[in-house]
Amino acid sequence: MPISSDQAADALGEVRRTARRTSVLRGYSFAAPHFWLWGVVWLLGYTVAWWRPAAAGSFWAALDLVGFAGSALLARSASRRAARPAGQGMGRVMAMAATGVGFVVATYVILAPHSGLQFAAFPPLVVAAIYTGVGIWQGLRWSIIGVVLAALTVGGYLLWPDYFLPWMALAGGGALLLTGWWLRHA
Amino acid sequence: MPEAALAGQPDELIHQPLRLRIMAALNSLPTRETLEFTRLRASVQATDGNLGAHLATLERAGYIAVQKDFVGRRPRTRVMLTPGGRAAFAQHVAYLREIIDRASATGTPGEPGAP
Repeated sequence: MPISSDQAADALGEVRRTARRTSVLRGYSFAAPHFWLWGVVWLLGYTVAWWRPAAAGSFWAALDLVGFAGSALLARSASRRAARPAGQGMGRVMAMAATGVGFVVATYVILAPHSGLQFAAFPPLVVAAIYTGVGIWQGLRWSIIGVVLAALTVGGYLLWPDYFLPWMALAGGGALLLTGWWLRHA
Repeated sequence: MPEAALAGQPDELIHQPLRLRIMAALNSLPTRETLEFTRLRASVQATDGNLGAHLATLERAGYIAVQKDFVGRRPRTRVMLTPGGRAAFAQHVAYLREIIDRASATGTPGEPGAP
């Protein structure tokens, strides 16, 4: 079976494209349950923040802990199914969580928000920026959800400031839940 | 001066375009990790029937292992590369690279039979 150098180059290009596509789809599959989990976290967190503003801080702190613990368990479960060392996936999830939380806290220290609305709108914007950045390397769908989340956050902030919290519960949390479904079926 | 023969050999079973994509998709996974049929179909952009036929060919050659089970009532098919399949794929890719390297070194255009 003689193979020319052009045919060999085409075949190697196809190998690279297929490996890349597989990696992207694998990433979507891994991420889907995390989006479902955090969709529920946002739904509950923003709803309670609107309904019981005095309890919002402690409720969000508890919810975030539950969310991060849940993400770590999901990562461990995925590692087990893939017969990989569990620490690798969990470590990455924890590192990403620490990066996001650390960045938000550091920004609040340096640029203290002037209102509760700003305080509530900044974290989802950071999350949106992370997703958009991840998408540049790991697949277009990440960037799409990042841009959509940013648009929902800024839109709600500017257009319906009085209803920003329920807006983020429904539109933000709902978008995360739908994203989980979208990634699952990619 | 006659050219030296290429060190490697092409693997005709793997070189078929869809089978090459199947092997590339499975090779990109960590060792022993499986890929579900539906996700593999999306990765290699094939139809159910076409993918099934080529998977059977690769399984007969011992390059892949196919596991079938049920999740609840839903049948599930998972596919993974065997150690032999991984080695054969690596050898075939090395052969393709060798052809390109040889053509680059001699400056000859790609022509079947004269790589």
